[in-house]
Amino acid sequence: MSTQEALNKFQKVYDETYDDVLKYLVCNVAKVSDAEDIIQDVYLALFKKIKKNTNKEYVFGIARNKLKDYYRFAYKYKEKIAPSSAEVCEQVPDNLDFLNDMIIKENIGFIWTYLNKKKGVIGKIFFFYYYEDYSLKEIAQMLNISEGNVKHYLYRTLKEIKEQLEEENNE
Amino acid sequence: MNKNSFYQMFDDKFNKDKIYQEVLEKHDKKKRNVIKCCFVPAVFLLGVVIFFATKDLFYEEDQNILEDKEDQIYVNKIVSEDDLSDDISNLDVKILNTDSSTFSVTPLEVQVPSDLELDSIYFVYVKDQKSGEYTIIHDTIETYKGDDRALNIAYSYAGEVLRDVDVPEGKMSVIQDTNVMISSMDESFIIEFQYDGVNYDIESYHLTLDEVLMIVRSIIN
Repeated sequence: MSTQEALNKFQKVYDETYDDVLKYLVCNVAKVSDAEDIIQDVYLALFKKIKKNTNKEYVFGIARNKLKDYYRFAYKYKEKIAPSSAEVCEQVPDNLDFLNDMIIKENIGFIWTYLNKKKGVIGKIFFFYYYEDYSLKEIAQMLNISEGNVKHYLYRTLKEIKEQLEEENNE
Repeated sequence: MNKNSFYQMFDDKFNKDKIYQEVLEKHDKKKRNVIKCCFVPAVFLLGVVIFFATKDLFYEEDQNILEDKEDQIYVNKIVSEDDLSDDISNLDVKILNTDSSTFSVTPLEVQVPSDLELDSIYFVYVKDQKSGEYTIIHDTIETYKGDDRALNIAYSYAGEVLRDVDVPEGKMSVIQDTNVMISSMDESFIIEFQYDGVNYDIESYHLTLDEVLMIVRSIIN
């Protein structure tokens, strides 16, 4: 197989699998920011083997192995996902778009860092809600938590981000 | 509207075209680095050849050679995952493939089973307390892969290798006068020891005890 043929094949497999592999990784990493490194490793590994018969299952096999490497073999990442009952009692409005125009380009770096300091599930909820455009119900099913928890985490974190941005603006 | 802003934030990290370009660039860079890295083992091998060809010039004929003492091997069996203390949620580190780092590293000169190939090298960064940035390299991890076999060799000059899950204390083995903690769980061995000021933490998957001991001895030798 020539270099150009290999490149064409790689691009085809990449285009066909990227979205699903990214979702798989985000569901299974500790924090969304970890997926950024792992997804590159997955496709670098695929590129090395592109002359083989590669298909979607093969790519997912690489992704599983890279996840294992990243978290060192069989030791599983565990996180208590459900918030305490006191937190859940808080009333969550239907409209979650209350940050309006508060977020400007200069805030984006801060928000990324802030999200990745929170519990891993929060970054994943934001990823699937704002980037992949899934509904709260779909996100709940993917992450195996209740829809109420998804909404609660979204609202609570948006509120915290709003408070942080207001503090910054007042400085 | 904040939906657009959040979308932009994630797209900056996960844009499909951007990642594609980065993968291609890293692949090309790796190919160039393979050529550079070949110089290191080539020079090393040349040094070894010269040494063995001329060693009689450096050593007296009646040099005393100590015979190896017998090693004492004890494998501590971890029965269930409940024996392990899971602290991954608290581990505040950043893990980067060396391709993504400005630092370069030469792989360890260690004897591994011939079917295993060096797959990746990672740095584990911890936070600099002053700047708050993850800029201090604590551990280096080499990962080796074979057909349903794997090996991680982690080492640190900064202290004990950071573990996501702590292994319980057990009976110590002694290999060539070095204390070595050997544990096993399912198909994995976990080896921890310190040698020459460096802390090592080795995890294997589907390797035999003999193979793992060979790796340890090659480090200690």
